[in-house]
Amino acid sequence: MKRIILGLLFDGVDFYLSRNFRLQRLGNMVWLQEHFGIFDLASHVDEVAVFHVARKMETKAFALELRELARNLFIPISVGGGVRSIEEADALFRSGADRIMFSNTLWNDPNLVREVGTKYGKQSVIGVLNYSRAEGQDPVIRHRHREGSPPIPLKELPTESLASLAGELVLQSIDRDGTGQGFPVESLSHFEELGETPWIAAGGFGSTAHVSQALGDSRIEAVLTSNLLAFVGSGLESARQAALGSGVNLASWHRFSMVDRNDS
Amino acid sequence: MKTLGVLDYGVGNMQSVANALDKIGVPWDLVSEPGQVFRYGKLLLPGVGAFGAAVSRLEETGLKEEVCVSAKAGTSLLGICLGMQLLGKSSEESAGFEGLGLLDAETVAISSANATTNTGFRTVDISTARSGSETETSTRDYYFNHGYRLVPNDPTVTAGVLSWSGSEIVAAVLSDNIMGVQFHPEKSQGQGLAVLLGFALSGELRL
Repeated sequence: MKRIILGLLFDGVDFYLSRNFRLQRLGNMVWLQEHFGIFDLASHVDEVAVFHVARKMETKAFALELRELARNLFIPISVGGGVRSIEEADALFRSGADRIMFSNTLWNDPNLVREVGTKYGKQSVIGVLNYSRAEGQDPVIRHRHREGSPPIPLKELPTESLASLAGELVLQSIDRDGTGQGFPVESLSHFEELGETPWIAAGGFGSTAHVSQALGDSRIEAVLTSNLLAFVGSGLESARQAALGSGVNLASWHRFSMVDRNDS
Repeated sequence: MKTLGVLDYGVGNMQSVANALDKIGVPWDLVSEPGQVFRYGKLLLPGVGAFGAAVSRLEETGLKEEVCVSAKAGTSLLGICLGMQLLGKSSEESAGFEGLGLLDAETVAISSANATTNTGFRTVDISTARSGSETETSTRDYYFNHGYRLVPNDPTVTAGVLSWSGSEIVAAVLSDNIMGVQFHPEKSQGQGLAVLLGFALSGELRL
């Protein structure tokens, strides 16, 4: 069964949009609920991925803000960005996170990633590979291992290590991030050396057709979109219905109101 | 509705369970000391993480023995995810650690040729009518995130299964007042909240 994941770029106060990894502030949680109906959007997805961006806030303080966000989300929550110790991971799990996403830490502190996997299970760890691809070239992984770190060619990726560290891998296209031009499915063939770890495709989703096309690819387990502008209103519901209509196996569920004692 | 006891032994995602119970209007208390256990007619045992670490914490807090005594006296007990695995005797994830032993069951890795973890919403085949000779089945989608699975030695305690990567995983167990779900009801949209509400209202497993 495949999944649609809603990405939220959150600094503990405000939410953001991203284009090619450059951030644009949207507003705080109240603003987001008023303008985007964020908790309604979440009722049409299988999972939420919260990226701690802009790092105005220490991770443990961020965890307290996450707790507020999680209060109205009854689906899995993955959280990434800024986790530098097992104590910070503990704080996020205690605040409602189900999984932790690691990108730069995969390279600069794999022991921490392994420690989180040992404590919470490998299924609670997601590796994020942010990649770009120049015309006619193989993709490279971009990271901030240290100042001026060179990108990692795909053939140099420690594939066995990645498979042992993470239950799933996000393949995030920097080139398509926030563009709404669609995820570059054609680039996936370059990643086949990564083995059996399930892939989450991210970057570029701008229409229901993009979501259906990616979910229809047998190599992709889930799609992740943070493009709130493209899916505002009934966009995610439409994307889900379109994917189901094209034969994608997605979960079905009751709406909250059916069991919400306050609503009945 | 009587207050539900949520066992807090320092491992697991208490906040998500708390959020879900708040959402559906179920009164709950965290139960972190053995002397508190007897106050509750219904207990929730959440859990994420490794089997051995969870057993250690249950033993260190003194909750393990008290929960067993209470469950054997008839208190309704619902284990969630790792909490369901803890109802059994042991797990190959953590050799040498003994579970609650309330079910004759062991936990094993779910690895297959294709995957070592099971993450996402999955369709559960539910066995409902358990009396008489007829068994009705229905299906419902719940969220799973695990790398190990409980294997009951008595197949009649199985209340729900899912097909995964060519094999079958026990998704729910029911043995009188002892219940467990491998999925996360607190993360399974409305139908997951319904499972929690059903347990809070009746002390039964209603999938």
